[in-house]
Amino acid sequence: MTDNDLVRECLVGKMGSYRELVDRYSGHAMAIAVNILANREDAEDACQEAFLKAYRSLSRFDANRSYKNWFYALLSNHCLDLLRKRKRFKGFLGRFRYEDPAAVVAPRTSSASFEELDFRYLRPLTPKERTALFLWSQEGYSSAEIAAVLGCSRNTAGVHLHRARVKLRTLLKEEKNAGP
Amino acid sequence: MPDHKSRVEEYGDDLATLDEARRVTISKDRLGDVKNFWPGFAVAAGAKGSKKRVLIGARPALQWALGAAGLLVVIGVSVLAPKLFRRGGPPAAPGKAAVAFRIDSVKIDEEPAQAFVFQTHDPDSTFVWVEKQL
Repeated sequence: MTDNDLVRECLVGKMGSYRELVDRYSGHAMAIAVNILANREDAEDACQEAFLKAYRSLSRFDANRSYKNWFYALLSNHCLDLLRKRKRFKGFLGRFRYEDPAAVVAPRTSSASFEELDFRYLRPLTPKERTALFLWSQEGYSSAEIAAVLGCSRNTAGVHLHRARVKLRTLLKEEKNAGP
Repeated sequence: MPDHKSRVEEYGDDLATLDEARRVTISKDRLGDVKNFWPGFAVAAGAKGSKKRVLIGARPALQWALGAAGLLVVIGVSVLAPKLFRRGGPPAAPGKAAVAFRIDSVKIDEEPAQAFVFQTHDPDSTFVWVEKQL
């Protein structure tokens, strides 16, 4: 059964069909969110919220489009929104007289599996560059498909991907030059 | 002047390859076991699902009003809080034992809200920033 068939069934009230979509996309969703947020627990929260948001917006989904791309767009927007909120929150705290502006939000407890993930090459990239790099390398997306997810033009998506690849190559070169 | 081919190769040398990108990005397989999102979804959707859908589709003005009200509260707090804060003394001496603080969940209008907890250098002060999820 295709994604869009499942969406049609959801719209007539079959919750089991949405469960199938959640199961089908949980892994992909987590991978996108982890690459954008660079934190496993934040990614889990973001996915949980995105699945609910998607369910509530299903009536606005265009059945002629790809559900996968639509959901990826919703999820990546949600993750980017979380990062913007976090930045705004830190800016707000920086206004306090006796507060250290460089202070950061208390880190969340990390699970063992999170510790194993290596974000050192992703963190220097902007969230949109990370998204573009992930979609290109792990999902095989073209610039046009990345543009559909990021909600920008094909050229802009190409620029995000290009910058990500340039930065990554620079980081890899620096690491190579630094030696073992 | 280099010909087109050599220029392209030179250009390509500055770009990470597909294999390199695959190596540094986190794939689905590298995540191991992924959380089951269905139980959390079923609880949230079961409690509010159908009501929320009607609210979003039929009453966008109310959504905007709620969003604007939330924004006004945030602006008000951000303007007043620094002034109120100045009236207090300097931060407490370091080394003082911190008070245990814990939040299990935060809701606005009976909906789960986004919460950020900030522990200041003053062990007696903790900020909680809550935003409505639009």
